Amino acid sequence: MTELYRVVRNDEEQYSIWDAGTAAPAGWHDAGFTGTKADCLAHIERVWTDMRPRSVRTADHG
Amino acid sequence: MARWEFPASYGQERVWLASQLHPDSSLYNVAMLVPLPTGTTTAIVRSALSTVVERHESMRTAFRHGADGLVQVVHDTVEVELSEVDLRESGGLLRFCDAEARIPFSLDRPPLWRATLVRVRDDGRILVLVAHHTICDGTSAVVVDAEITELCRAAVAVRPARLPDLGIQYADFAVWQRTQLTQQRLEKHLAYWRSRLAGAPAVHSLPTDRPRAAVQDPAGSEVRFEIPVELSERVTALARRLRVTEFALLFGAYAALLGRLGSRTDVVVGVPVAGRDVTQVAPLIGMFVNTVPLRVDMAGDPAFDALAGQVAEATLAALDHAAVPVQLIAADLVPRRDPAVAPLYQLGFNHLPGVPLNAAYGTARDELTLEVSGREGRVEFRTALFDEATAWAFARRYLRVLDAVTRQPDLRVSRLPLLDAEERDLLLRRAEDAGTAAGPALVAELIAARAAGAPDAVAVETDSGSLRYGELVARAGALAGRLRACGVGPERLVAVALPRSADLVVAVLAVLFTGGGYVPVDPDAPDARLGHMLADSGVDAVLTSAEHRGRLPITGAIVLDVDADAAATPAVGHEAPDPGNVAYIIYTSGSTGRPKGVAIEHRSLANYVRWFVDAFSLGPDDRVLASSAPTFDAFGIELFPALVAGGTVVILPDTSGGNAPFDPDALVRFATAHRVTMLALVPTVLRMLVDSPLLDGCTSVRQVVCGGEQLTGALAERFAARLPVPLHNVYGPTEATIDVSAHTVAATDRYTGPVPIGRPVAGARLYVLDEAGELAPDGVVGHLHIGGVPVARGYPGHPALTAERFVPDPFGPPGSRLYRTGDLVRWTGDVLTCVGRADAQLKVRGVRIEPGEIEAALRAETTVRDAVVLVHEHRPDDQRLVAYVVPTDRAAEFDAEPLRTSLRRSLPNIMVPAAIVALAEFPTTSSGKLDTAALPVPQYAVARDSRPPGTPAEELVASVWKEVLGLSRVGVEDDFFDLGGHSLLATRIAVRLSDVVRTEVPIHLVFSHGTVAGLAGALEDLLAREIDGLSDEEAERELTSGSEVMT
Repeated sequence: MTELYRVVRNDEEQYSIWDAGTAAPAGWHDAGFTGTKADCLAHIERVWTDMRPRSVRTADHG
Repeated sequence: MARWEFPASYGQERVWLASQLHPDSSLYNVAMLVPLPTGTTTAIVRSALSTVVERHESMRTAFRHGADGLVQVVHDTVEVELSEVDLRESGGLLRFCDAEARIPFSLDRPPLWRATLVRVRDDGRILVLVAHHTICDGTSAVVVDAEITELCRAAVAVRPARLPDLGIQYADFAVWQRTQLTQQRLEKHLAYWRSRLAGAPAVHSLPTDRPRAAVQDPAGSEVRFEIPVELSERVTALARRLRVTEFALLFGAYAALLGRLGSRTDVVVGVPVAGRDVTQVAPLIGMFVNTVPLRVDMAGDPAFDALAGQVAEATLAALDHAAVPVQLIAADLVPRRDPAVAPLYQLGFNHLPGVPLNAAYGTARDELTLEVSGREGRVEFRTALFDEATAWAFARRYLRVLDAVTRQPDLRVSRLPLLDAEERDLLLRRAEDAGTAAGPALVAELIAARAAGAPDAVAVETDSGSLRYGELVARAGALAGRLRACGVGPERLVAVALPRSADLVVAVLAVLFTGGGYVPVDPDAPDARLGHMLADSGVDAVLTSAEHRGRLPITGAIVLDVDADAAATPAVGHEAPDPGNVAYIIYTSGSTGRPKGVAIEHRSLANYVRWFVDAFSLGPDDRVLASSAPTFDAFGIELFPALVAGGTVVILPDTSGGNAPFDPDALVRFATAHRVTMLALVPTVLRMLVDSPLLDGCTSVRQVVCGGEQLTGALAERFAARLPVPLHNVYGPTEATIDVSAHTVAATDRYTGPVPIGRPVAGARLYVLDEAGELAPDGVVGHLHIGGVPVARGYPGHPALTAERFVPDPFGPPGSRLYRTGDLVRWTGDVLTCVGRADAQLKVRGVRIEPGEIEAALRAETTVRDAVVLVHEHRPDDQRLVAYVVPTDRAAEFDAEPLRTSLRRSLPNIMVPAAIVALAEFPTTSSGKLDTAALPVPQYAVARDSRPPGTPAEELVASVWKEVLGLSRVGVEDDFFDLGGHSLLATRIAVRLSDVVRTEVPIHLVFSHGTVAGLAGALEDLLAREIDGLSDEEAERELTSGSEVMT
């Protein structure tokens, strides 16, 4: 039985994954994708385009 | 007096033999306490005892070891001695029994029992009977109790005693057993056990408080506990509901606990079986017990109720094959014994419903055993390995597990709760050290402040001169101005393609002054690799020098020479970036084939450097030797702390061209000449330094930092003998900013295994987690996860990989992340020790290597269909990378040389395998995994047709090469490195040659002459110079006598 994972994201807009059956730690929110570990990571590979933390991005001009 | 001889049974044989190993021990004594009915007189007891002795031949049996094996000798009669003791005044029945039980027996003289009549009260007496296990087992104790009690009652009531008829005697059983266990039946049973135990772990992995000694020590103790009534009732109810025996439940919980604590899913436990299946033996006193090695495989993380069912089935199957004496199973499966460990199993379990628990009497039969009888439990343990506190903790955890599974039977084994709230709190507190990481100032600012305060202090010293703080900052500032003009600033990256030099320091500082991040690259790396790193990191500019600029591949980046025209550009003050901006990117080996960059932020670097300066009390008079490659993050240790402390960075000349062998003597000489106060090294280099005769002359060194690979206690001890200064063992992955933990070894400290990696650095939080992500109990091996300010931003350009390795932190502030290191560690007391890797990543001579990267490079070759790369320990301390390949054309003759040449074009030298072995296919185990044990031992570059040694010097050198390289043949034109040699071995060759010719043979001689012929010639010259005045003949005689010493 393959385990299900959820894609999560923090306020710095960094992505990670968490076990779908348990609540993610504080500060990590549901990013709207659930699936196998491989599928979640593939999703993150697609959507996480700017890997700079948000607070650093807004200070910068780029 | 008549006596009869019979062959001993297998059980008697086993216990007799075990007793011989510990002859003066009470390890196999069984004590029985029989309370006597009211009105029993001494005469009645004596008579009852005599009757029992007469009825049961075991009570009249002793042993003789004959030519044809162990013989049991049944005597017609034995003396029935009954001593009497009055404990009414003194009390202490248990103490008395304990003392009685500890008196050993001589197994060749009957009776193998002793009886004492103990008066404990005016109207109460107890018969204490101690017997040897060769004639008595647990059920026998029940028989003794029943018969004595009935005989005494009958005597008191003046009626006939009602005792069962004994159709046979023990010896009959022994004879029968031998005939029953025919070769055919034995083979059938053994086949079952072979299959059942195939691949089972030979030794358990339950953490012990102390390592095992070379020989087993049976000294033991016990702790007793009670199962609360309510829990006991739940156990009974659950067993009924699941339709399994209570044994299956209780044993299943025990196995699950052992698995969790041992961080394994496969455990083997010895469980005694009564061995009285044949009804006629039921009423006999005698040794019938056998032990079965019960294996519980929890791969797949079963739910507990499923596990209980699995255990129940496995037990039934085991009982079908329990007629085989366990020693025969051991003889078949474990022919070669390790005296430190019992074969098959070292942990035990016993369920004794309705029968009282055993007692320890100062010994323990297994390393750890759990016994349960009704609501009473007992943990028996060997005191050499376990502390009483550990046994108590084990008992508490067992009850916690029982409690959890009876409330929630579908709980998976990986989720069984092992910790209570107090333990959890302790582990969380231990994860970090009080004291935060410094203030907000970043590294560039701190260095600039030093320059402002003492501009004439020497910042960088090389073999050609020195650079003062004022100059350093001025040059870096000017260069920063040029970089800014190119658009470099916070979040922009600059590659630094320079060898270790003052220019490099200027370049790095310049980048930091712009607020951007630097990316160190090796100017001599293979083109493809350089090109990949420059493109992948997306640098805006490259700092290099005129000498190296021609080597760089063309990318979109602007290339600046560090040494060009600095004076023309005005210096610019530094612009502080946000602490969250990127400070540097370091590339590490990637498992999928390409190296990946790790981005570290300014705050992480500043935290580390400030911690380092503080922890090791660095100051302006410190002079730190920079000897690592700038592409390793450890170079940061050599560069920044000294400058932040106002001290000097002493740069060891970079003579390499990157790939030349390392010369430890040159390093020591340089460090001594430049009065270096701190060295930072990997253990491989430390080992070479310890071998250098020059090391004790390096008296300016006050402390040494050692990291990058495991440091052994043996090496630390050898180092202390040469240079008795503090040795700091540091640990950390690149993804957590150089190091996250440190442990200082004082010159007098001793460690038998690896030196601990210690306690967290300021700002770091270190957690040891199990497979389910929960905190592992104290002492249990788990996966190290790192939290806090040292955690990297991630792998730029690799979002999925970043998300996989950097996970949400359940212990830290909201939104924080943990980095999963893949290192297996455990807490021992307050410090962490690293025990291994959870994946395939290798460390060879301090360098992190993903075999996958090399495998990918091999598979990319048209001649290779498949490849696997492993580390092979050719000799102790001589680890080599070996590649096994399946060629595309399996019929053709395989030549490894073109492959190695090709690999050298894309991989750094240290990643090129020392040997490449071609196979028709990879051997696999029954589960389909690569069977590493079945891979052939590699042959390192077989000597081509180079001629054999001709002169005495060549003979001598060839002998030393063969000895050190572990080869049987060496030709005089063979190249040292092609034969699998490397720097460490070159050092050994020099030391060995020095020993033999009784003259110091400098290591550089070995490096400069890579063949036997070349080195032999150089050696002759050396000796001729040394032995000034000796004729050529005399010199040749020295060499001949030397080569004779070798043979």
